Order: sequence, then structure tokens, then C-alpha cells
Amino acid sequence: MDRLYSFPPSFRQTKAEYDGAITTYIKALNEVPSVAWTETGQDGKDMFQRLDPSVNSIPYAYALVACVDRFEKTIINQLPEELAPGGYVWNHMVVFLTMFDPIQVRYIGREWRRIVEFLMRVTRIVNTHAEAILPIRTAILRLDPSGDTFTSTHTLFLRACMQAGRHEEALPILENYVHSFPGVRLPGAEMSLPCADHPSSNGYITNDSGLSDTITPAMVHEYFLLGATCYIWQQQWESALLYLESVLSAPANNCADIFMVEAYQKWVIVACLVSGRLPNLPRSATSSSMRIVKNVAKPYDSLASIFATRNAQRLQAEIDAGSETWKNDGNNGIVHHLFTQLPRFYIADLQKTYAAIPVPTIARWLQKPPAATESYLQSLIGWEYLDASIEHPFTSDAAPAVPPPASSPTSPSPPNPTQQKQKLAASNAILRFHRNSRTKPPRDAALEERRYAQLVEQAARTAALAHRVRAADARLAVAPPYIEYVSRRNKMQTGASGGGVGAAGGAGAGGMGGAGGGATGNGGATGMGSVGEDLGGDDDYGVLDQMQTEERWEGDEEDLMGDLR
Amino acid sequence: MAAAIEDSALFREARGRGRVIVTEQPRIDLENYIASYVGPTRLYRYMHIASTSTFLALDALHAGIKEVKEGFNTAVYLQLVEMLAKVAPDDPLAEVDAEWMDDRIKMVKVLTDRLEGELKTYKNNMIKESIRMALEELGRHYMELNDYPSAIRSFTKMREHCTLPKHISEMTILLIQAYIHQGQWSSVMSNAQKVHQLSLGREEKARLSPVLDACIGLSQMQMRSYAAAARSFLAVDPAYIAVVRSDSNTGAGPSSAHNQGGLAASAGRHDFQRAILTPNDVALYGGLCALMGMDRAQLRAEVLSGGAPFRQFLELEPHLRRAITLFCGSKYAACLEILESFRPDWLCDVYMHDHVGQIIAHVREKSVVEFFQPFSCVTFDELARTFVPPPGVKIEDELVDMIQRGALPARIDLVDRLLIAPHTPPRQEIHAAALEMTPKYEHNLRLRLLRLNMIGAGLELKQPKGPHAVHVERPGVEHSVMADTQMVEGGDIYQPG
Repeated sequence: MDRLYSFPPSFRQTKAEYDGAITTYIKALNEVPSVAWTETGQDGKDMFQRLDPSVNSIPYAYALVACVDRFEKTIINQLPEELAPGGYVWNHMVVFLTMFDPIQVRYIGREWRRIVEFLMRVTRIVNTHAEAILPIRTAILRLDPSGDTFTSTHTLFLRACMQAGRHEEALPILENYVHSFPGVRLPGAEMSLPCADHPSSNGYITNDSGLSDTITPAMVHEYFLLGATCYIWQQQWESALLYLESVLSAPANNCADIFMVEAYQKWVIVACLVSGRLPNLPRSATSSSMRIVKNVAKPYDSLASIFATRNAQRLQAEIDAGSETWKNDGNNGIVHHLFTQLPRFYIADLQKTYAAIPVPTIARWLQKPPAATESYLQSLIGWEYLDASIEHPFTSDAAPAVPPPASSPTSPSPPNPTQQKQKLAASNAILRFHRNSRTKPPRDAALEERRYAQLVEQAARTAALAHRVRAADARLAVAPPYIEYVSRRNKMQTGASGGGVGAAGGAGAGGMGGAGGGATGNGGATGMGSVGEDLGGDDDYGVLDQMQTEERWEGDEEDLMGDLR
Repeated sequence: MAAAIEDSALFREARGRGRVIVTEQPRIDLENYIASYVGPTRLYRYMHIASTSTFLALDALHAGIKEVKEGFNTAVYLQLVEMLAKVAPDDPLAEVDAEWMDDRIKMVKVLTDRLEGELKTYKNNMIKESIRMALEELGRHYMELNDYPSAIRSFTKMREHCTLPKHISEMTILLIQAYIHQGQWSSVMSNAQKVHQLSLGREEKARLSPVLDACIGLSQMQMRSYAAAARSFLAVDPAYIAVVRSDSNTGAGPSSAHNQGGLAASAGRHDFQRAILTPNDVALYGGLCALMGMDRAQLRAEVLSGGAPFRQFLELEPHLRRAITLFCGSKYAACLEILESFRPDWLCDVYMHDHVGQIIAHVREKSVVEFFQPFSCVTFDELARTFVPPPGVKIEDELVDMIQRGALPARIDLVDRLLIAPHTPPRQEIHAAALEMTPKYEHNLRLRLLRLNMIGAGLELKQPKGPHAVHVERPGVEHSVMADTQMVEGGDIYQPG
């Protein structure tokens, strides 16, 4: 028990020393009988009182796991009070998950995961799914602040959010789009120690770390589909689209699973809500799988093509005709959303043809009263869906000057004056589009500033992403299949002048292409380059230049991959 | 009378099929018009006019029946009589002359047998030249009888008996004519291109190339690639015109050429210029296709300029030349007026009929675009004055349609009734484009990276091994009931197929 406090030491250690110390420490703790963890000491304090979860994370976790073990061994159908939400042990679990030392936990992944999963199991048993959400979310983010690596906990967490109906709670996790998966630890390689400062979190979240269960494709598909559902609930369509396309882009060998089918159905509708019509499938999607999926989801495709015609009656008829389908697929809500959003796209289309339209004319096209149309248009402008303004040729001062239509003596109750004024205003109102128009209001400066800020932000995001591409490249360059490939190739080239450095350098990217299968291509890369150039030449925004270089880099990377393939 | 014809069964049916009918009086004079042609095309042109123009229907049918009875073409005779019966049931010519029919059918049979017999003899003698000529006679005979598949078969068989390139080119020209009458335009084109590739003597080449170019132009026009058709017609050598002139100088009048009559002996042996396309036709088709497919600079350089070979053709159709000149001089209204006034005539042309509407509409559209180019805004009234819209159509609807199809880069102001040129500040455009492009790029990069890493981690979805759908292992437990937009239970893998 003296050794309980022997770690962490009070002095600074190198990573290797730290690793050695912690391994010895864990070995020692493993020899402690499990009963010892739940005993109360002579001073009347139990482990939880004696230990600080943020410093002594490892023994603290062992103590918690011992409680879980005891419960699982003895009682089956009754949850003891101390384990129920709000109970003594439960509270300590929550404390642990919010305060643990993220480095130490890397060494006790199995224990950490048991605590997390037990918490979720408890909430399932007592049917209070919401209780576990916050501590688990904190734990996930604490373990991996970059949110880069997918773990089995991600899927479990989203399920819990769904079951609790707390979709908004999932967003902090979803905001970090996962790119990586638990890798293979290569003993002896640089940065192989779990405690090292890994450039990417999948350096320590490895298959044998225990921090994640074995991952199956279905698990990943489910995670992205649930993530998309959360975003759909929040009506964040672009993000939902990214998550749905992630499912569709998942590698598959001429087959598809239920998640892909569902993702495709939702994708059709969400894509319509984002861009107004059905775009092409992402190029990263596997075409053979998409054929299978499309076969199952035909009603959605026809719905989208009707949506693109902007014909409200036909859309309504199609929605009514397929109501069973939508309901069975659980897409009733967004299908109806599609209908309510139709006028927005109809009006957005108008600005391609018109510069100005009297509001009553639009009202007639939409088959709505003018006053309602005007307020609808106002709201569209307010949400920045529409770059336009509504003008009243007879301003509010002038309006009364126009003799109001004499209240007819036959009408029993003359309409009240404000209502009448409103009506009059609506009947004179004009919708003026600003896109491509010379009469743009003088807010270009503000617009430009905003756009600049957006560009800077985007540049930062792209740079971060470029970093991840490099990391993926580096990882794949040391992956066993690739090393095998290189050695095979080198064998073929034996005799030819020692291709050591040159081959390895060039092969780095080649491996990415080779292992990546269909994931490469050069879509957008060249286009981006030229846009970046235009901007760089036009303005002297330093960041844009930087962005341009980043994109050059991306372009080169993709071109290189394409070439080597 | 005209009203009665307009209401006759023939035109009612035609309207039902959506065919464009001409009710105005065309400028063409039927006799003069038909006199420029010889051979079977005369009958087809009679038939076409009879089914298009209510004014000329009766005359065309009468003349056509009279003419067909001089030949052996019983199939066309029956068609013409049937049409006449639908237009004027009481007409004496509207009844089938059974005696004549029997007579002709017998004669044709005798003749066919004779030709087939001759061919057989030659084949036994194995004299290539005689076989070739016999086949040619037989083919021409079938052509005369309207039996184009048989004619094409005969002509195709000629190929193996041709000994000189000249023979091949003659054979192909015959084949092309048969294909033209049958309306197989892609075959016309491929055969014409084949002749182009033959190594012929210079003289032979000079004689044939204009004909071939005209054939290619015609088939391109029929296949609705107007710009390409314009190019082909513009390439036709003016020698094309000279052939006809010298021909008529020698006194072989068109009608006499036909009436000389010894059946297969003469039919189809006339110049291509009379049998299919006159130089006037080339001028008309080429001019209209150019007007449709070329811009003003091109028209000026390649059509109107004195050096352009096509100019000589255009002189044959002065009104068309005037229309093109007006278009180049930005006098769009006057140009359209001419085109409109000749619309009935052009509808009466057997090959132009299907294209007139589309060509004029497109020229009109082009005129509006060109007219609008120098302005930043134009009122609807001004536009409607310049381009009088067809009855029942409002100019703004026409403009809306054009803008939505992307033909006219402009915006419409329904309040002040203006057509406005769009204003695109380049700097903002580029910013907007960049802002639109970069997130898309990032989006795609994310997807690719994810896919790459999934493959790298061995997370590729594999086909289930068993013959039936396999349950996907789903760790964890049931989902409780979740409201809308929720996942469906179950984890079946869909198998392809």
C-alpha cells in the first residue's frame, strides 16, 4: 500500500523514464488483491477519500473497477443504491471521468473503458440516459482533446444522446470530425510510447491500448449516421451533409449495409435542402455500393427530381403518395421540411431571372396573400437566405396621402386602419434583388471585411487539415502492407542503381495512393489553386498567400498521388 | 374553297399529328418551282406541298397524279389518290384508275423479269463490267418504283464488280440518292465521306466534291446540327451552279428529261443538282443554317464577303442575302420581317419544312441578345416594338424563358418593366467564388481522408460470405423508441442484385 503513492513521482522525468516507472507501477498494482481496493483503511477513509483522481488516476480507476467487479459478480437484477445515479460510487465515477490525468489513463485503457461503459449500462438499466452524457462527453474530450480518433465509445455516446433525446449535447463531440482510427503500435518506433506527445491522437489510442473496443465498419457507419441525425435535429444541414457523405464514402467492396441505405435516403433530402437540387454523389463514394443503395431508395430520387422542378403541387402529391415510405424510414419530418422550404428555393431561383418583382406578383405565384408573402420575404432576407430588399414606393409618410379606398357602405364592418395600411403597403411593395445589381446598398466595405474574416478562418481550417493529411501519409508510409510493397518493388529494382533515398521519398505519397485505393483523384485541386492565385494577385492578404501555398501543397499531393497511381 | 380544304380530312389529320400547315398564300409558283427538279423528287415535292399548303394542295395533287401516271410508280400514285380523296372526295381524279394500275403492274413485272434475266446471263458469263451495268439498271429500276431497299441492295452489290474508282464513285452517288429518298441521313453522310476519301482524277473530283458537300450539309441539317451543316454548305464549290446552267443551255428541259421516258433508261440518270438539291436549295439551306449558327463577324467574312464562294449561291436567293446583310447591320427587325414573310415558302420545301420554325426562332433569340448587348437596360415596350412577339405571347414571357435557358444574360425588372444587364464586380465575384469553393474543397478532402484512413485501418465493408443476408453484429443493445428522423432497427446487409 505504500507503493500506492509512489507514482507519479514529484520530480521531472524523461518520457522513457516516465514510461518505465508507470509500467512498473501498474505491474505492482495488478498484484494487489481486488478486495483491498474496496476496503476502508484504519483511518476510516476509503480509497476514494485517500486518492486524488487527477493525480492518482490509476489507483482511483482500479478502485472504481473493483466496485464494478463486485457488483457484476454478486447482484444480477438489483442495482445497489451506491451505483445508481447520485449514489456514492456513481458520483466518484463522475468525478474520475471529469478529472482524470489523460496521460496516465493511456496506460489503463481497459479500466477506463470499463468505467465509461458501466456508466452507460447503469443509465440504461435505470432508464435515465441523460445522466451519463455529460461525464462521458467530458471524458472523451479529456482523453483526446483533438477529437481526431474514432473509438467505440463514440458510437456508444451518440446512442446515449439519441436515446435521451439530447441531440444538442452530442455537438461538441461531432464538431471534431474524426479522421483517424486506432492504429497499430509499432514497438521500438519513434513516438511509440503512449505518454509521448503524439502529433495525432491515434498514436496512443491504439488497438492494444484498450481505450477502444475492436472497431467494425458498421460501428463507424452508425456513428456517422447518428451524427448526421443529430445535425438534422439541429437543422445544421451542411454539417449533416458532411456526416451523411462520410457514410456514403466509406470503403465497401461491392456491397452496402443498412446504414448506407439510410444515409443515402437522408442524403437525398438534406442535399436538396442545402443546394436546392440533387447534386452528384461525392466522388469518394463507392459507385458499386451506390448502385445497390440507389435501387433501394428510388422514391427518394424521384422526390428530389420533383423538388428541383419547384412545383409545389406535384411535390405535395409525391409526399402524400409516399407517406408510408417516409414514415417507415423515419424521414417524415425532413420530407415535410422539404415542402416548407420549397418557396425559399423558388424565390432564390427568381433572382437568376429577375432584378425586381412586385410583391403581389410573387404572392400570386406562391398562391399566398401579399401581406404574408411580404413578411415571408422579410424573414428570408433577415436569415440572409436572400440578398434583396423590399421597397415601398409610397413611403409610410406618403401612404396616407394616397386616398384610402373609400370604405364601401355595403361592408358591415370597415377594416381597421392599420390592417388596411398594411395591406396597402404590401400591395405596393417591391422585392429588389441585389445580386449582380448596380443598386446595391453601400455595405460593400462591411461585406468585404466579413468575407476576409471568413477566408482567414477557412485558411486556418485547411491548414489544419493539411496537417492531418501529412500525418495520414506518414502513418501509411510505415504501415506493414506498404513496407511490403516497397520491399517488393525494391527487389524488382535490384541491380538498378540503389534507389534508397529517392525511391523512399517518392514512395511516401505513392503509398498513400496505393493503400488508399479509390480515395484519390484531383477534384478541385487545380481549381483551388487558380482561385487562390487570383486572390493572391488581387490583394495583399498575407494569410491568403499562405492559404494558397497550403492548397498548392494539397494540389501537389493529389497530383502526385494520381501520377503515382 | 380554301376554307373547305383547310377543314378537309387530310389537314385535320395533319394537325392532329402536330404538323405545321401553311394557310397563307405562298409566293412560289408551283409550275416554275417544280420545273427545276427531275426524277422522283418531283413527286415527293408534290406530295409534300399537297400535305402542307392549303392553297396549293389541289393543284399539286392534280399535277402530281397526272405526272405519276406517265411513269410506273404505282405506290406513289395510290398515295396521291388517297390524299386527293381526303381533300376533295368528289374530284374525278380521286378514284383509283384500276385499268391503268393493272396495266402498269404487268409492265413492271415484265421489265423486272427482263432485267433480272439479263443480270443472270451476265453473271453466268462472268463479265464484270456487264454485271455492274445490269445491276445499275436494276437499281435504277427499283428506284423508279419507289422500292428503295431493293435499289440499295442492287447498288451495294455493284461494289464488288467495280474496277475503277470512277465506278465506285458513280455507284456511291446512286446509293446516296437512294438513301436520301429513304431519309437515312447517317448512311448518306458515311457514304459521302467514303467518296471523299477515294483517289479520283482531278476532273472527277472537281465534279463530285460540290455534290458530296451538299449531301453532307443536307444530312447534317436533317440531323439538326446546324452549325456543322452551315460549314458544309458554305464549302460547296460554285461549280455546282455551273452544271445546271450548262445543262439547261443544251436544251434538255427538265420535263422533257423526265418524259423522255424509257423507264429505267433515263430515270435517275440526271444530274444530282436536279434530282435532289438545286443550287437555290443549297443557297437557302446554307444561308439559313449560317444565320442560325454563326455570329455577325463570321457571317460577314464567310458568307457575305465578295471573296466567299458561297456569295455566288446567295445571289440566287436575293431576299436571303438581304436578310443576312440586315442581320449583320444590326437591323434585326427588318431581317426578321423578311424571314417571317418567307416562312410559308420555306415550309413548302420538303427538307426545310421541319427546321424553319426552329431556325427562325433561334435567329430571333440571337437578335434579341445582340440587340441588348450595348445597353445596360431596355424597356419591354422598346423590345416589343423592335421584336414584335408572336400573337398571344407577351415579350416578357419570351424573355423569361430565354434567361432561364441561359440564352440571354440579363435580369428582368417587372416593376419598371425593364430588361437589365447584370452587373458583376470582378473582385467580389472572385471572393464569392473562393468562399464557395474552399469549403467544398475542405469537405471533399475530409471525406477522402476519412476513406483513406478507414481503408488503412482495414475497415472496408466486405460482402457477406453466406448466400443470404447476414446479420451485422451490433454491440450494445436495442434502441428505445425515438421520434422522427430516427434510425430504423436492424442490421441487415444488403446484397447486390
